[in-house]
Amino acid sequence: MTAFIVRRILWMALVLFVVSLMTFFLMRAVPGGPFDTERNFPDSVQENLEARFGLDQPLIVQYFRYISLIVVPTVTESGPPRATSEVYLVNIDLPNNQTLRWMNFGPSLVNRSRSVTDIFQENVGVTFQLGLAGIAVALVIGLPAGIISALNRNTVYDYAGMSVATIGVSVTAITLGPLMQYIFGVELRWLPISGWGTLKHMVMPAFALGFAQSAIIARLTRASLLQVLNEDYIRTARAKGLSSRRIIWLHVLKNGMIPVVTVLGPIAAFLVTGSFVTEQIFAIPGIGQAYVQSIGNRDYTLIMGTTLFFAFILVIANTLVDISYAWLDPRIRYN
Amino acid sequence: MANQDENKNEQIAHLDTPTADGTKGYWADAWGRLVQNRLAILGLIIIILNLLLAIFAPLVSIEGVDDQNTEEANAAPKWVMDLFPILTPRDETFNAGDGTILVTTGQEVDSGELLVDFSEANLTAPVTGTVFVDARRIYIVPDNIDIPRIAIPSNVNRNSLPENFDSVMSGDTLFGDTTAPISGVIYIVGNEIVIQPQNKWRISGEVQVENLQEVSAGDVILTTEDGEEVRTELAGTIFVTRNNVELALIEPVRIPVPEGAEIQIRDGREVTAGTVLFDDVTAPITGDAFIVDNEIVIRQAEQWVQTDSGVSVVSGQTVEAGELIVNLSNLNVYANMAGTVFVDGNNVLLTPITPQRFDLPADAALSVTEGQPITAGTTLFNGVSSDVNGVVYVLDDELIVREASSGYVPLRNKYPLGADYLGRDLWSRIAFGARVSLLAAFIGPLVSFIVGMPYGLISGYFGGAVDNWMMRFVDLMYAFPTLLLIILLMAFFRSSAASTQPGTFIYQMGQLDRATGGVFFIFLGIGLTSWMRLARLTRGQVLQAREQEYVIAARALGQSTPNIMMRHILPNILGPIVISETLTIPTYIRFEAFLSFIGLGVNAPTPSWGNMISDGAAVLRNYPHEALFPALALFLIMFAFNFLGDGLRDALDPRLRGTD
Repeated sequence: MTAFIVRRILWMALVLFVVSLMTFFLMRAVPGGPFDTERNFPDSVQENLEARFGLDQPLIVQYFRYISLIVVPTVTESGPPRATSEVYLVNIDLPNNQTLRWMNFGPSLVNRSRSVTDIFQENVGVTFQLGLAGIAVALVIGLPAGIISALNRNTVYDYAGMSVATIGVSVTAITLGPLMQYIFGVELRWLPISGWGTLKHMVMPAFALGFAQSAIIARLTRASLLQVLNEDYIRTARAKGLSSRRIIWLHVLKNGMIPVVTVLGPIAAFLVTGSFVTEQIFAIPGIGQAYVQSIGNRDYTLIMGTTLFFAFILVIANTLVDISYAWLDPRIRYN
Repeated sequence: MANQDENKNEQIAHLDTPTADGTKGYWADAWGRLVQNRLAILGLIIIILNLLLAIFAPLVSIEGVDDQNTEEANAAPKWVMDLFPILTPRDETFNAGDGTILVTTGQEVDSGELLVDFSEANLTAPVTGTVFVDARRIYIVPDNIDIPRIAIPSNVNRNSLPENFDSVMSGDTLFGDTTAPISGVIYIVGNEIVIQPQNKWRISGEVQVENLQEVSAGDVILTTEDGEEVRTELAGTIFVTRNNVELALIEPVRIPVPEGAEIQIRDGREVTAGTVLFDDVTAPITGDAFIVDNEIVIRQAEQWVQTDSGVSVVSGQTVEAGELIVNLSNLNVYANMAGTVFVDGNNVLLTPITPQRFDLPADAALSVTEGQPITAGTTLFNGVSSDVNGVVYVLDDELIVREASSGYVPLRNKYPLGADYLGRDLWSRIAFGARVSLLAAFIGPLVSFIVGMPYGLISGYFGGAVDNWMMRFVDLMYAFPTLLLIILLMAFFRSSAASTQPGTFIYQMGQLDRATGGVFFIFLGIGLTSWMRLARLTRGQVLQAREQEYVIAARALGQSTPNIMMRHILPNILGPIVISETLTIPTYIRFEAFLSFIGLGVNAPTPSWGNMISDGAAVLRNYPHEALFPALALFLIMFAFNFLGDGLRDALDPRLRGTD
């Protein structure tokens, strides 16, 4: 198991490395640059700006300089960062007035008074909250719906649950978002139409994000539980005279959850990357908005930082799924 | 060889033709199961209807889809208003302009009733003369002035003539050796050149005439800085304005002012017929009035600002005094809903909300004044109070409180689903938007089949190191957040295409993208990221299939590798692949809609359901239908593909039936 986890972590590092490499060179192949938007710089100013941010170096040098600033920790004197190019995400205080600093994503090339780390610290939390709220909605609706449908197969509960689920998979944030805004925001005035900050603000975006996924989870849970209910070991448990509550909680649910766990990775990833659109609908100041803008602005450091962030979420989610797999199903062994 | 052929035929026969004992083949059997699934058939019908809508979009659209009519922006038809109560009509204000208001405050009107009549403001010719109409103004030249009309001989090349509205000086060549008899502006009317005589000179150098001076033909008007003398060819009265010297062609009206009369008008301002000038003397005509020592000179208008409404004359036409020049009755304002009107100065306010009316007793002591805004509970008179917030109107024997309401929603029925914020028909845009969504639905799987399936087939069939490396690559690509990659790829393609020289490959792709309204690069982006999933699935299926007896048999018979892949493995794994791709179609549709929604998809004005929802969401508070109709369309197509996918899975793979 430990060897497996170590292998997975090495694989994660490789994946992030390749993602960073591809993003970097694809991004730099896009014509235009971060300083094009400002009007008619003299050439000398342009050259100075490029020199200041190291854009005059060969691409490969720029790439490794960027990566090393993120990967290699440094120890410097304690105190607030002196420039936007010296803002680190992780700062651990050491004795002797020293601080261990790690993960410097560089200054934003367009919004030069802020570093990418600053932008992250302001916006990533919001995107995370939104993503987690979406996952919560997906699970809180999807799991019980699937379980109830499976345990009451071919009853009115089953049909009702599955009808909602089949409609649910056809719903996207951009269909559900405006509809909810109109009903609950404009007509009933129960919830704020847009913005971020209070719990009330979270309800509609979380639903817009999570509802379609809850439908997928419900369908999958039902299918998986139905399969488990026909397994021999369930018949054995019944024959042993176990109470049906015990059978359901201990045997059916635990084994039935394995396929559900597999989709949690992609779903978590979708919820975080899908928050792009939800953020736009509900005017939420998350990282998705920052990403879309950064592409238009050719804000190289911000594009890199955001892509790495999303890729990191994705690989972490998939790795966690693989690990929980092994824990849930003893038949699966990783060697 | 014969043996091999038989073997092939047997394989094919096994798959899709009825066998000898009367049972159906694989595909026919699947079709039989599919048609029994009502929801899948419903999905199929919705998809076919959408396909028809997309193909025949130009036929079913109301107008050209890019027509913009901002007059009707955000308009919604009645049934849509009933659906969304927020769209019900509210107060509307009309400016009466030069028209005559035919209603009085408090009057109840029906829909279609005439509120403001413009026909009295119709413009008629003040004198008999010739009219000239250019893009900005209408001019009249009285008939005492001789207007040159020069017939154009049929052998003259039309292109060599001076242009319409060109200025010519007398003596300038018109064609051949024919010259302009007078200075003026050229109007080419049919086979004639008509010259509107010059009666206006821009001031440059020294002005040699005085305001209101009478001049005759040949008098010097200006001396330019070069010492050249500019002479008039017409007689008339001079008006010197800020920038011009003008010669009034219609004799101005002069009204002597007696000593001590108190003049009621201001110098240089326009007066209308009937305006009191001094004492009980009124203006006989409409025009600009100038006050000189002992008289008032009214210069009658001889040019009018051209509006595109109802001009009933053409250049060069001779009109009698009093003849209609511009018919303004098409500007008449009719009530667009039943309601009550309130007249406020030159504005007419029409409200659909029934106002509160109170009969005023003769001895009423009013506690409010006309036009006063009040809140519910305010005492109006004699202890009577208002139930609503509003504005007070006091009539002779009645007091009216008009309920305050806001917003402006015109009621028009031209479009079946209403119009968007630029006045474009929503229905037409939804029809054209179906093209983009359906293209996404077909191109995503197409690229997957072309790229992903061979990739998985090769990887799975050869196995070993080849398989390992090919699948590692897919795993790596899989870790890329798809939407991010698509966005980045599209930025790359669009910018590269925009900055390369014509003739290169990427430039050609850029042209294609522009021609398709931005659709091409979206699909390239979606296609480049969509094939990996199918490659994985195909590989998994191939791994199973290649151990089957029929593949081993084919190999033993010495069939070539491509032959085994295409003839034996592929047909047997096609079912799961088709199922999987059908179930993925909604994802492609969603990607396209998302991209267009965040403004990175199709280029405006190409309609896509995604950018329509985005546009509509911006005005959701007042015009919800603009976002909700395209959202409904998007929901329906995704619903249809989901159900068709489910049905196909049940039909093609009966083992999975009922498990999900």
